[in-house]
Amino acid sequence: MLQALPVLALVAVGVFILLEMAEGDAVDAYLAGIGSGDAGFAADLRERYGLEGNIGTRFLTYAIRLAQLDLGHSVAFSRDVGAVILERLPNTLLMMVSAILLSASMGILLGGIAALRRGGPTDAAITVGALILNATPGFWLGLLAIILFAVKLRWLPIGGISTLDADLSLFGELLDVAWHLVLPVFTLALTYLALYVRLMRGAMIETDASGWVLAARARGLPASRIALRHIARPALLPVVTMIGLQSGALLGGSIVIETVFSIPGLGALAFEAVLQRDLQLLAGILLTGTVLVVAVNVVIDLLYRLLDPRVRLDAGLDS
Amino acid sequence: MTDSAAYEANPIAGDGAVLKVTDLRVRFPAPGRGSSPVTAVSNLSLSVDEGQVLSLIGESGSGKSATLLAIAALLPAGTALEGDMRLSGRDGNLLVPGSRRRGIAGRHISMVFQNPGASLNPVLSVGSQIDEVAAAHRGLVPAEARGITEELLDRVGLPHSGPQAKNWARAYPHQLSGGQKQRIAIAAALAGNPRVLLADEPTTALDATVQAQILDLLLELVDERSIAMIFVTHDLALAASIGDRIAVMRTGRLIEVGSAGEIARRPQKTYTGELMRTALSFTRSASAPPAVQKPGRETTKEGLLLRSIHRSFPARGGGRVQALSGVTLKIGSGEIVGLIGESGSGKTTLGRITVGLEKAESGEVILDGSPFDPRGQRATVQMVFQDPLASFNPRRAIKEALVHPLRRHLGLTGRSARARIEELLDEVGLDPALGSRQPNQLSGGQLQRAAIARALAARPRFVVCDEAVASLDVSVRAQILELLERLRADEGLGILMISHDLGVVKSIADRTVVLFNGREVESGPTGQVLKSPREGYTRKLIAAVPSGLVPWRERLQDEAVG
Repeated sequence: MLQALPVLALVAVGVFILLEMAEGDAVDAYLAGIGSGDAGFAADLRERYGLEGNIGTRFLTYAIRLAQLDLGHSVAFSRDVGAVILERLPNTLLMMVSAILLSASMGILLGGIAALRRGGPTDAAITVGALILNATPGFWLGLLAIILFAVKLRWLPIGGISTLDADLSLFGELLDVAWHLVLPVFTLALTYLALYVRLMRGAMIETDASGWVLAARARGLPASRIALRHIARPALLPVVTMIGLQSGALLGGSIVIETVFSIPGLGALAFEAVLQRDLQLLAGILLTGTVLVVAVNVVIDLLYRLLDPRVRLDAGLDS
Repeated sequence: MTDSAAYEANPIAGDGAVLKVTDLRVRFPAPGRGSSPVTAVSNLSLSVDEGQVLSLIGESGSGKSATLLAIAALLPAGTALEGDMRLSGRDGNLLVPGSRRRGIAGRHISMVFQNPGASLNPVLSVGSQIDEVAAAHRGLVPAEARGITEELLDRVGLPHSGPQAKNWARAYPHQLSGGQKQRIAIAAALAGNPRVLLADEPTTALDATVQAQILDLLLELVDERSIAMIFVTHDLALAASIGDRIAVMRTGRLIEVGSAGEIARRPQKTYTGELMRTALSFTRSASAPPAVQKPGRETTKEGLLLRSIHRSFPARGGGRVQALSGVTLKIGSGEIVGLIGESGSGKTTLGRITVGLEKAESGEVILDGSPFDPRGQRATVQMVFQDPLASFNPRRAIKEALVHPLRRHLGLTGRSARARIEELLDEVGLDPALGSRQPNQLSGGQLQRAAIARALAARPRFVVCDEAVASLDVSVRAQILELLERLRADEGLGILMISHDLGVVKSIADRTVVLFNGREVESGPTGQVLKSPREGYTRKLIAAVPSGLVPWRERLQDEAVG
């Protein structure tokens, strides 16, 4: 788990280099926006935002700030980057975690069913369905879902994270947010579903051919027990690994989905930051994303330790 | 057990039979379009009595495994089964698919497999894998069966109380040795109190001394619980020792059935006789092959010398395991040196150090008096590995695998390389036309010949064979050993023969070195080491090998008395 720290440091350096390579800074964008070009005013602003000096001093300012968990100042929002991000983070986090859980659990379930019925019509339907979803761009799927469920059927809201003018109890508010998240979370989860379906199906077919499954049949265990404990359980391992690997891609995918469903999350924020050349904000978002992905992977590592006794630290047998 | 004449007269035994199979026919679906179904077993009839062991023997492809899996109802769907199978006390033909089979597996017929590691689920504790079987056959939930599990573990030699006690039930398969895992698998197979136990080469993957312990355990259980056991093996000596009766299979048919003593001493069929001869080469006092060495060569510098080799590896949970501590060994030109020892003795590491695949921590490898340089002299010392399929690139034809050493070490390309490949394949007794096949299109024996051809391609003076014949059938094994012997005689090849099989070493090696825990415990001329061993460990190793002529049960009794 300690590997997480060097990863974060490396990403921080990488983000700095990327920002340095980009031409123009937030002050340029700001001045262009207000239409004035006083050199003294610009220098003043640059000093305030830590944008002046050579690359060495700039990096030092950046590193010291980061160490104090200060992500800098957002020119576009005239507020601390940390505060802006914290405001948006819960929405993205909620969407991302629900989408991961939904796509992985649906994938495990459908992939498992497909593997147990392999070669039959159920298997074909699941495999082909997942493949079609996989080939469909997320934004298009999202738009279709909006047209069908929000516009035609009017079952679900068209976008946003909550009903703006509603006066609700705490429970009502939670329900309201959940209701708003149904379409975006399903859209996000479905686009990544195929991966888990195929992985689980493949892993189960492989375990099905293993010696311990044959042995379990020879010992006369009920078919359901063999399917769950001896086929599905060991097959979970590659799927869980994939959840960690995919969390980054899922975060990327959420930018598109947040835009389609106008959800005020990190994705939408990143888009604004790019448009406004608010590089400090962008850097903050990138770093937050890294922390998220690293955190998911730490959780996955812990989960893996639970699932696979072979990676547990204890070596010997207790006497 | 007395040899009943009735068995010879009528292989399908009388009323005492627990399991009776009549005219079994197993056909696998056609492997491809236009081909016809493959008949794996035909007209097979056999039976086993309570407390009796029937050894079922044959080479790979003889149908012995298919027979066992048919009895256990474990053949894949789509396999056509014909014939009649009955369990005493139960109605109906069990080969008829459907409800008649329900409740048979585990409760009446159970099975132990060849690879104990593969037959246990790696992510579940071994105790829970016995619990669930005990529970399933008693209508309990698994948690209630722990008491039964602990009794079983106790019985198979993994006690949870007493001086040797460990919490075995909570262990995971990866924490156990091969022998311990096989004990667990036996406990799980017996958790439903079956009357028939099918054992599919249950000791083939184990070391000789561990094999002896497992055989002891199986026979004790057969006697105690009056189990009828069918013991499948390719090793005729083992079959003859452990079985009350032997059934010999070839190409899907039973060619000979009889009492073990009869078949071992007076086989009726030529094929059985051949098998017996090869299998018993260890027990027979075959004269050791004459060494080709010229007198005085021992004193020259010529040869491959390993001097006080040390090597250790990082251990699980910290620390280091000493794999080799100061082993010295010499292979002269035209000399075959046998290296025997159980797994973990360091023999494979020594082989890898000899060819330069692994580095010694201290000690040196000396070739003709000067240090061996694995980079520059790779061609001089070559290696043949145990698993021929794993040692070939699956996507390349055999020819392509042979081209590489020819080009690299001899500078042969184009037509001259092709000609040399044909020569090499011919030399190892392989039809040169097979050179264009992919590795998976050859049999194990053919592929091992190709591996030897590849090792010879660079014109080496020394070859290390690491269990090179272990995975081969006895008849193929004999051919490969003959080939090695010819190469030694004709080309003065020096061979280091690493094997856990004393029979192999006995039949081919001039000198034998016995390794135990990374140390040489004994070495000398093969005949002397194997016939009159000086060290206790060597004697133990030799005693663990089934002789084929003495029933294993007598050995059990001897032990009990002694």
